[in-house]
Amino acid sequence: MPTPLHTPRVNNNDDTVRLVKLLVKAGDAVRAGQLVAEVETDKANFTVESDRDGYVLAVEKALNDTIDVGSVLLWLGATADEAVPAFAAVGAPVESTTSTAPPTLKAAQLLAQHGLSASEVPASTGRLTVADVEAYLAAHPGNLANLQGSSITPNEPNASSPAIAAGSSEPLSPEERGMLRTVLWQRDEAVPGYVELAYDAKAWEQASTDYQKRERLLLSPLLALMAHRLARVAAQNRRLNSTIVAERRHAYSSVNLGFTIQSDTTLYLAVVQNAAALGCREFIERLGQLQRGALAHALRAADLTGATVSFSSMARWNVSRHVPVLPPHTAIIVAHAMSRDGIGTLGATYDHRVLTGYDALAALRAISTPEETI
Amino acid sequence: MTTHAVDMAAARDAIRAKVIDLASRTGTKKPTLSDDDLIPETGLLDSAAIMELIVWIETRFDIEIEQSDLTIENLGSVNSIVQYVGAHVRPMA
Repeated sequence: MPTPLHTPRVNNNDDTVRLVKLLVKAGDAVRAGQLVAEVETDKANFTVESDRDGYVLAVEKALNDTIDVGSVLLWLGATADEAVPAFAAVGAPVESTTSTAPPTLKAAQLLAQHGLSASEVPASTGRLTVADVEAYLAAHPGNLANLQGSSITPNEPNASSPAIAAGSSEPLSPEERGMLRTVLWQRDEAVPGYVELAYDAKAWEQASTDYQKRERLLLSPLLALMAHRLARVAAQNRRLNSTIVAERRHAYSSVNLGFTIQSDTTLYLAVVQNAAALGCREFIERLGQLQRGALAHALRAADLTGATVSFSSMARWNVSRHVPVLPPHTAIIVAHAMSRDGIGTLGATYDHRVLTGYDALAALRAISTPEETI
Repeated sequence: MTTHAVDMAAARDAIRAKVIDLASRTGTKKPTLSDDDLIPETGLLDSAAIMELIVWIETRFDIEIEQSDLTIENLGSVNSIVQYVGAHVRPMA
């Protein structure tokens, strides 16, 4: 899970320091002991080291900022694709306060599991959430002993439960941990809904075939063209390209298109950055690079982060329907399927906090036909 | 261009065998393929399998294939793949 690296106290008399050097940026891999920043007061300079191996998920402060001792300087994760707690992910300076509203049910369960009270944990919004408690626990290692069970509700079995038959325990791979976080984000934060639409696949197939012949492409561009259409639709309808942060809509400034790629047993969500601004051919080539990177298991951290809308197809396996899980901090993922009898289906899992079913359906309708000028 | 020498006859056999292997894995029973057949038009391989073939060619022959080179002319058939590989490696004398 994301772990904050806090601004150190340089001496007892200074409650603030100035950030004079930033030696890492989001996406960088770091080792324990590696210098990541330098801060100064009137009297002294002090270097800040990473306290663990991992990846920089987000940098919370800007160069030359005067920052409070103890505030979060940056977030570290075991893998590059971990979601930073929402209030940090978008860089919105939301004041942490102790909430007066009751914590969410899951937050209350987590508090109880760690013997904490709600008044001890700062809330990033008006109500204490699981993310707040997890961030607090990460910042207070003394409470970490039970953290691995933090997302397990009391009614679910855990490794020490007698309901679990004897066996061995093994760590998850980084990709499996990423999937676990994605699933838990949907469970704990989003309010998922699902709609779907049967569509006439002929128009898309014809457009794809025409484009492939015209451009002399080796690969069918069908899925890439459909994903590009989604990116353009999302650019026109900013609600699709949004999420909820601190009970406010956060509209992303660019459309970063997440695209699921199955490689052996690993499912990647590769991200085409600023996808709506790319022309069709540029988008197809960029997505092709990512697909090749995924097949070689050689994607970089930056290739796997920052999706704002997503597209997933299981047409290759002739499934008639699949209901994908929302990537964290996104409002919609479109699911494409094609049954053996040639019936095309477009579905969408959407975050009901951001979109209505009508919004999602309108998006699917728009995507169900190609633009006239591809 | 790689510096190691490549036996192009063996390369041709390996490429053909890889296409057949990928076709078998995507469900085609007893796939057949001539070296002139345009692979995308045979229906033997879908796009994901062709992408897998591309990654395999890069690894097998230690070459990098530019994204813009993914065209029918360059890599559409066993013959064109052999020709493309031959232009990017040092063929064995």
